[in-house]
Amino acid sequence: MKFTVSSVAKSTARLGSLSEFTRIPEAVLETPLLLLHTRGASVPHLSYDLLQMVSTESQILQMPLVTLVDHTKNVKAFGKGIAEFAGLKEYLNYVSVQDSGTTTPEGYHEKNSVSLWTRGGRKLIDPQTYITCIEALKPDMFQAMVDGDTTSNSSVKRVRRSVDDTVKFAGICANLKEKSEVLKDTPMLACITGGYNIKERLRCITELKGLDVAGYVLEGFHTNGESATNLIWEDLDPVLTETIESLPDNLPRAFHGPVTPIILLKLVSKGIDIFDATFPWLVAERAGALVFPNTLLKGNAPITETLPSVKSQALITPNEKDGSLENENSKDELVDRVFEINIKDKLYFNDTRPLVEDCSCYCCRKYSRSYIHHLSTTSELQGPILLMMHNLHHYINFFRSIRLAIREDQLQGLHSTLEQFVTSRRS
Amino acid sequence: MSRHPLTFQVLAQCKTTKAKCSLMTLPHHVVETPVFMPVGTQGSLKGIIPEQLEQLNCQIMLGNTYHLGNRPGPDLLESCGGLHNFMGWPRNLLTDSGGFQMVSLLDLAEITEEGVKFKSPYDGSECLLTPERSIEIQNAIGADIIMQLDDVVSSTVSGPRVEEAMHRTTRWLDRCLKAHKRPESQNLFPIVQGGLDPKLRTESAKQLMERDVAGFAVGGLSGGEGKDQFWRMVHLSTDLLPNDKPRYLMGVGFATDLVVCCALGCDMFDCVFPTRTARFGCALVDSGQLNLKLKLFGQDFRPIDENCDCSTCQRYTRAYLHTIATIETVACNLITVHNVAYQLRLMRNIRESIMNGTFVEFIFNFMDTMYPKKDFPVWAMDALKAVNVDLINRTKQQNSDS
Ligand SMILES: [Zn+2]
Ligand SMILES: [Zn+2]
Repeated sequence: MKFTVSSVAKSTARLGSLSEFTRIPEAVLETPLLLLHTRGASVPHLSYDLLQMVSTESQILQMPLVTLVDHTKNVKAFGKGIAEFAGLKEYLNYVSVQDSGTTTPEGYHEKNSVSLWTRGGRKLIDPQTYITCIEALKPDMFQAMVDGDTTSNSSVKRVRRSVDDTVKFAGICANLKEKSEVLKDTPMLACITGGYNIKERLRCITELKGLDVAGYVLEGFHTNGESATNLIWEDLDPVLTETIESLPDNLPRAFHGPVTPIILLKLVSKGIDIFDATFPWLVAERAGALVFPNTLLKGNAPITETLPSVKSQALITPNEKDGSLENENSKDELVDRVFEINIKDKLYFNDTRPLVEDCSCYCCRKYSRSYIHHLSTTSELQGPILLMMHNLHHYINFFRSIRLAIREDQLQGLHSTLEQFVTSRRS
Repeated sequence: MSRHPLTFQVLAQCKTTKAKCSLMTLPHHVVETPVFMPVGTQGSLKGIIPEQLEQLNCQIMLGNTYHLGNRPGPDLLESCGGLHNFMGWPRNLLTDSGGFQMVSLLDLAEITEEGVKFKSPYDGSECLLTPERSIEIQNAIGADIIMQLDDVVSSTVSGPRVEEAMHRTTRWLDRCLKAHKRPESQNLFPIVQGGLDPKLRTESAKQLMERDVAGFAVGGLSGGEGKDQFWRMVHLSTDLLPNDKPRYLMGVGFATDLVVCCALGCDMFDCVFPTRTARFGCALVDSGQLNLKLKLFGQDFRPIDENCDCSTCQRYTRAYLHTIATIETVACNLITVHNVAYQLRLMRNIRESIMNGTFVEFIFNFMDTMYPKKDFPVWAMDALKAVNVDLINRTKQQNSDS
């Protein structure tokens, strides 16, 4: 795999590309890149045919090992790797440890292993077993095993331990990879942990120096799933700045998890190159359709519809410690839905408009909000299919706009468009 | 030319059995019969999108009046130009009357001359589904074929109630015909009732045939009666109903039943089974079905069916489907595509063999593959014998056929 940085904007945002993957050498993927998140090696709700209706471009699928580990024995017996096993050999794939779209339970640590929470329960996995699984899956790229179990609340001891473990795991993984016939030439991304502790982050980078890695994943800022949608930029900013300054320029940097579009833009402007599509998936799962402006506006802003207002999250976030908020309504409110519309809302019962007026996705070309509302209220499986098709389309286009904005030095413009949108919905 | 928005052209008649191959032209598309109609209960075929159904060459699907009448309701459907528009399905639709769901889903349904009285499962309020109301809703949905409200009696009930229901069904048909506001674009089918009593069924068919309708349904069967009684009632009904109008056997969709009932002269079928079983991880094949959840498929790297040309079999293996069946909804999409493809292919093969004059041979091959130990169900043997097909003593059979 080859990573090329083609330009760096004033903001430190950068444009680049991933290319020369062994299995599909002709594929070129521009960064900032959106990895398509999968579960059980399929994009949620979308079979190959349906995925092709969303995009026919080259894509990299993010395959979390936690959703595959129960089946690695069968993939191994198959012998040709997970891409072909899952009927998706036209796509490149990248195996990560955890599912960044699903909350990883905190606090389960055993010596020399990490916990994978599979359908069958908790599974402990050590670096040796991990590499054995990766050998069976034969991915096009993979993440080194990592202990990323830290948040802004973690103790110094926990943070230190996560760095110690991560460095140790990376070393073993790199060593085993080197000796492996199958994985020798497969690019591996090492992980930078250290929570919100700059000193520990820098120690992690220092101790990983000398390892032959193809890039870095910044882990340990959240514990995946919803927790990634609540990041506080002021906490993240200084840690990220110093961390990225200490990383080599010639390697790609990934940040996993369903961060919100505004945080995503900030991460891009810091110089992160790779993200995943867990956010559009999470939104589809709660019957949400993404409606935030995903293109760079030229000239005057078009007249857009007035969307129902959404309370600021700061006002509704409950005290997590006291464990209150049991009933479903308040749980719903825990989630900030400012970037989406809740299609289950009665408001859309007879709304004949598409989800987004000028969206060119299959769902918006063909269906009304009213129909998708009907599917969602009757729990028809076609509901999440259509929402996923729209949300993924919307997010793929968002990334296209991000790359265009960097090229034209308009990232700030895209950012303010989003800020304005959020402000208007808060009123 | 018929004044109904339906033409029925018989293309070929089997020389041995009552099977025939026809073209039924409806407002939205031509339908080749015998046809299997997948069921999209609430305005969506669970887990797949209309494009996929079109690719499978599905020409007609079902919607349920009871469910659609509740959600999204007739007013909304009417305001957006009917269910075809609402769900983005450009081909034909058929809706049931809602009566069957009411009686089978709701314990408290009470039937009077006026209609079916029931408590709404949504808000507990008292509702009344009359023949007029059923047609009003079906007019709003706008399906190409709509069904009369019939007085449904469980096929295990006998006695005067069956006779009452049979006569009431005819009276309700007249009320439905009178209430029908869109006869120029929707065909109203009556439903032959009469339980398992040959005399009552004969009388029912006779009464309904006196009305001006474009086709007939055979109802009140496949509800728990013995298969032996089931096939006899089908056989009797198709003997009575005219051959130049479509005969729709309601609620039948197992492969063996389809083959046998085609031989008995039925043209249209529907059943939730193929799509429902897909959601539980079961794939239909010529030898029955594969429960892909079973461990034995974990390392089975063949497609569901090597001879199937569906998009699932072209790309996905049993082993992969095993890993996601009932876990990821993608599996539901993939297995549903295959199962619908299986049903439609079975019907296509039936039609082709009728056209070629090889339907009897087709029956033999089908039954031998489905029952490799030759343990054919007795009812199927009897039913086929009634239309001159002897599964056991074949040489004589084939000689007389050629
Ligand atoms: Zn769209
Ligand atoms: Zn197939």
